[in-house]
Amino acid sequence: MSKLKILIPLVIILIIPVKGSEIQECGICHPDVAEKFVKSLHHTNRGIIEGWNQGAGKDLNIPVPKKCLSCHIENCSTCHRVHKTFPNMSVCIECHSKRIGVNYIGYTAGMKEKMNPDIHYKHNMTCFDCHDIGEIHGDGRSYSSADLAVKVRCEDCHMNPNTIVKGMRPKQYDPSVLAHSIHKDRISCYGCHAGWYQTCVNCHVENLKVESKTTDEFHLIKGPDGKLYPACRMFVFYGDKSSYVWCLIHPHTIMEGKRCEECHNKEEEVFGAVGRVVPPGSSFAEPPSSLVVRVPKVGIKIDTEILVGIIIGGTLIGICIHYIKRKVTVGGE
Amino acid sequence: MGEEYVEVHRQHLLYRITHWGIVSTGLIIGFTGLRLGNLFGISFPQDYELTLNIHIYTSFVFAFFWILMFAQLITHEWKWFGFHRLLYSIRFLIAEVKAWFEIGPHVEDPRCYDPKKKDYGEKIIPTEVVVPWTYILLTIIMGLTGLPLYYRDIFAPIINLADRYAYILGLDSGIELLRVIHRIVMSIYLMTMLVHVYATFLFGVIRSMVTGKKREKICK
Repeated sequence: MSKLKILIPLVIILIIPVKGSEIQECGICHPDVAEKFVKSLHHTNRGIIEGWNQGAGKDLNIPVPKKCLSCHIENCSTCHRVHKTFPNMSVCIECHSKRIGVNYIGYTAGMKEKMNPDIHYKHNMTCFDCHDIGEIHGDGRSYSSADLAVKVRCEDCHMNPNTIVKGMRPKQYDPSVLAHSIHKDRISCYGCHAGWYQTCVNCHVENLKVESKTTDEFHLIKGPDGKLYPACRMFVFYGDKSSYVWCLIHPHTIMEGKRCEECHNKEEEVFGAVGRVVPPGSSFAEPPSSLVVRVPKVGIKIDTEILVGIIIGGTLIGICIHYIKRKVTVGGE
Repeated sequence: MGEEYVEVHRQHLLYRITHWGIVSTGLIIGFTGLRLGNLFGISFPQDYELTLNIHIYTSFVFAFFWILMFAQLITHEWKWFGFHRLLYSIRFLIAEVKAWFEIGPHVEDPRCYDPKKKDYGEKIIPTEVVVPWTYILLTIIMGLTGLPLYYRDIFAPIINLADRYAYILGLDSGIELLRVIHRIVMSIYLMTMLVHVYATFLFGVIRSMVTGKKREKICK
């Protein structure tokens, strides 16, 4: 009995540190991966924390809700459930079940509604065909957002004729396509090719419940690189405080490009102008019709639509005055 | 003693066709341009890409008509619309403005036809001299600012040039600067056109641009 009294605590003591330092244990054989992983977004959660702090957290003045921080990979075995086996896509979707993961395979959050899947999924591509191990385990640097951590770009395959993915040659970017020639360097690929995405309507921080979800909204904001990206907007409520946040997103519902009128006919809806924009460096974009000229040194700021109205309106008024006065300086017949 | 008049064949057929070609294509370009810019709530045609294609390809026809008009101005109408008359035209305009504001004497209509010479003594209101050249200048600016918006690779040097000066107007890029110029010049174009249309009614020349004929005052 006395031996048991010593043995049980000893076993517990031995087990707890092993469980708590699984990464270190894996790191014995995979030191490079373990070292990088502890700095990766999957482990640090910095993306969620920074996003919150720069977005709703700034207005509401509260730390990240604990429930948000549960989206976190503590140990290697969360994904690598059997040693020496590579996790499949369903492992990714288990965690990415609210948006990107399920959207990619054509469902809304919680697999509730069947939607159109991403064109890459239709071509049997999995997460790992685009996101390499360096992005998933991290590259050793501690990034503050996925925008910075994810290195893969559409151009890597679609502007590289030599690429072969799963025996397929990706369709190459055609600069002669009308939308490409016009929006070149101004709109990200996602800006046109993102099919649909979920927007949560009104989030209540107290219980982290959203009132509803919709897939009908589409918005664009200017990303840190100056290009337009899809944005997800949301009202966040906490007590009597609220925050209106627009967040740059990369919907994994890539499809054929949108039709022009899906943006150009809905400028007020597509281009927001009120609220907080994340990540840093992002901003609201002027709608295409709104060409505002500014000369700060002389304090001029004018919308060209108004200027055009003044010119044309002024001309019509001038003609009317002339006609009314009937003071024609050179007579007709 | 009253004025005497004679019916004269004023505009030949090709000139009239060219004129109405410019008018009709210009109206199409103008309307589709307003729609493309989402100006004043115009959202027809609904299909944006179709509208853009109409706008672009019609503008080539528009430019063709202007080249044709330019050729006719040089070959047949130079006597009346030549640059040598620009100063005279501006002086006449100033006199007209003075008369309108009643700070100068009334200006007589100088247009008349000499049946003996079978030619005009004066074919146009002198102010008209500046009109086609204003249109041509505006058309060139519209082309130079509009084509780069569509053919960005071909007109990259213009975009690059605009990129360098966009900051002056607080704009992000040369493309935006070109759009601003295109839009403002469009409004000046429209302004010129409205005054032009008003003047044609005022000076009774609209019929001659349809039938080619006009009753002209005989020169004394």
